[in-house]
Amino acid sequence: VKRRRFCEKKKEDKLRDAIKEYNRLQMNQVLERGEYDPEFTSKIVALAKQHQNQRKSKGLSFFSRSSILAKRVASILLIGALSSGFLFAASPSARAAFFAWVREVSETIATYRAETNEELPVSGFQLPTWIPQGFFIASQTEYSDLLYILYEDSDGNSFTFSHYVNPDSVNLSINREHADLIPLHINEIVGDLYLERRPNHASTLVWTQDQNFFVIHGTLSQEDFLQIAESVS
Amino acid sequence: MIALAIEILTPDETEKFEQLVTTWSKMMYREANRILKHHHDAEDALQRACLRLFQNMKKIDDPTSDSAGNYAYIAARHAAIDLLRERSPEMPIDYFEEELAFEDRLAFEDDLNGLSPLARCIAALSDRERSILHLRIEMEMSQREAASLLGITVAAAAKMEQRAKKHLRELCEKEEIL
Repeated sequence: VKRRRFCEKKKEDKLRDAIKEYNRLQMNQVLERGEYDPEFTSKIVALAKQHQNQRKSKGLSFFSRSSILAKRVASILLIGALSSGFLFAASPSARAAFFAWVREVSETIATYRAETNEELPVSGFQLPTWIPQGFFIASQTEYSDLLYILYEDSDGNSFTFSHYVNPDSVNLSINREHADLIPLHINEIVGDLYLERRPNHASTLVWTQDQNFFVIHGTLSQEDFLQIAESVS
Repeated sequence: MIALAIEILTPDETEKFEQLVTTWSKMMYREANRILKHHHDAEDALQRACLRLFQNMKKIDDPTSDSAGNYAYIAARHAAIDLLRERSPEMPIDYFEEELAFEDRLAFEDDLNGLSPLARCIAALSDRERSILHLRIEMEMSQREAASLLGITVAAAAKMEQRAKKHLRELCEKEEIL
């Protein structure tokens, strides 16, 4: 048995070396050909930083969909979906125009997504015109359907602003175990502020405007959240 | 959307991810862009690839090594192929891979002669077969991990690995390497 294992290991090592040899050739080929947008590296690195930032803020972290399902306690609220849903079932013409934001809130998790049966036109990005004193833009990343801005101050505090222009790409989960849900009136729209009870933990403000979805995430006061949100244009 | 669905990593893993992307993003981008032939599509595919890399960062010791580079390459290539496939569901499942493999063979033809006989046999495998062998043998991934990176089920990954080994054995026998 030992001998057989030794032979198998030797074979596998040989195979591994051959795979490496081929891979080197393939990678050299790829590196030599084609165009490259240097901004791409910074975009993805910004994504990693965003992730790090979420880790730093500890409080309201984002979960994968599978863990949401496990943690969900099933108290479900559908925003504006019930009446539209009835029309959706009853009339073919209404079916064409069906669109609604869906919020599901349990004791520990809140999730947001859009329900639609058609591709919707995408609008331009909006961003805050007011931010608390001392903060500056540390990184700004534009994807095809998401604008993501990381703000920082000289003390290392940070918050993020995200604007989703395509409802299809929204699938947000918020751990609200230690947060109070406070309705916040942003101009004429009611947003959801998940205000963290623990000190130095990040809170999250979420609101929608037509097909636009906005998120602000950081260790800010309720007043700052409101002022930033109201300044978005 | 990747920005919201990312797994929780340790600070070390996050640093490794940054290193991996900084080192290999050029190659990933070029591969995705070559396949999709559109800048924005390539970005979409790479976001998807990065999510898969995020989920498997524990497997990477040195993000600057060739092995990690190939891992990133496979993630980018398969994410781009998945995107193509989603857009053209009417095409046979292996259509895009075969097309790309044909393009690759044309591009590599001269260089293949410089490879060892076993590496030449590996070059003759299909794209998926090569990818699964790379992930399973070189990266020492479990079938589950390899399946998640390739965007297929565990059962499909197991079948693919079996097929890849059988195909490689046949090629080796033909070349009288074994």
